[in-house]
Amino acid sequence: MVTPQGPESRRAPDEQELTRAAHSSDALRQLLAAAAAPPTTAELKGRSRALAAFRSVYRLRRPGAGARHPRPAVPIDADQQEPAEPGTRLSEVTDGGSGTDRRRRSGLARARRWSAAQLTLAGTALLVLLGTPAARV
Amino acid sequence: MLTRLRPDGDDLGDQRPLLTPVRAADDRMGALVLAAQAGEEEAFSDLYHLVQPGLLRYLSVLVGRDAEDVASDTWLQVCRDLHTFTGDGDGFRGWVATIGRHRGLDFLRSRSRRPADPATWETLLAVPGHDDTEVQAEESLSTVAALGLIAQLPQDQAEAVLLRTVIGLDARSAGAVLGKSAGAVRTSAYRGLKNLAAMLEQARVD
Repeated sequence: MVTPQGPESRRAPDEQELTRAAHSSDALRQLLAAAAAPPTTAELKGRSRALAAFRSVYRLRRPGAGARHPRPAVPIDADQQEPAEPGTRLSEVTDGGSGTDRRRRSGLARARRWSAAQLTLAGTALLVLLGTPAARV
Repeated sequence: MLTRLRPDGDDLGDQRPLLTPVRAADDRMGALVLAAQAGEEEAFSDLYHLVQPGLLRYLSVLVGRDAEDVASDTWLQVCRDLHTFTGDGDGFRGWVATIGRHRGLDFLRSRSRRPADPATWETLLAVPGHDDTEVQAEESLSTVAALGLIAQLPQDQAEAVLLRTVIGLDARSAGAVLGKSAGAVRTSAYRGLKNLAAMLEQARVD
């Protein structure tokens, strides 16, 4: 290593002396230029993680995230008040969940009402058929 | 880690002041910082693009192959504390470098220090072909090889050279990062440059 000699051993060099030192040889100039060369793609590959952290801190939503990745449809039977499955979002329990969930539950409820109506009609018809002879007896 | 750059040193060397190669972007950076603090993602992305390469190269000399992990931790803290930052573009570079240095020193303290994995002399000398001229050899120095050579300096000199040359801080800002006076930073950088010149000369003679 170089032992400080001359002016640098007595006082701090000024900017001009630093610049002269940086340009003292072509080899050094080339080395410093290589060290400060434009960025490579690999050097910027961590940007997505940094952006994710930024969005998290500032509560930003990734553009298009909802469209490409809809929330999974979690079957929730509100009538039976069953406990939600682990991982179910609170919003899906309280506000009916996504549109897919609501449509699905609406269809189930409609089918359930139709089945109940059919069962009632069939039961009534059976009672009529069974009840008439009994009444006669 | 870093990939080898094309030997484009000729495009950079003569036109750009070597000790402050990125200062031209600082005026824009101040506005970007304000926009990012307001939650603009595009501004933060631009800040990352401007600061990350220098930070990663600085950390690669400081902690070696784990520089990417330390840089990632650094940006996590930058995101968390960005609303507390006040200053201009140069101040932002220094602020990020300070966080990176602290994370790097924490990393080194948390585990036994490992070599910075610099390029060996054999690697450095093997970059050009045997029949290349000296000038061609110098032009073939890649960023990785250059950082490897800088990593062989004493740490205070290496940090001073990197903060001035790669990250582009002035002596005062670099001193704030290192906890030194501006004069002490200039002295370390000067000695580092002299040592680098001597190492290159020795390599040429050998």
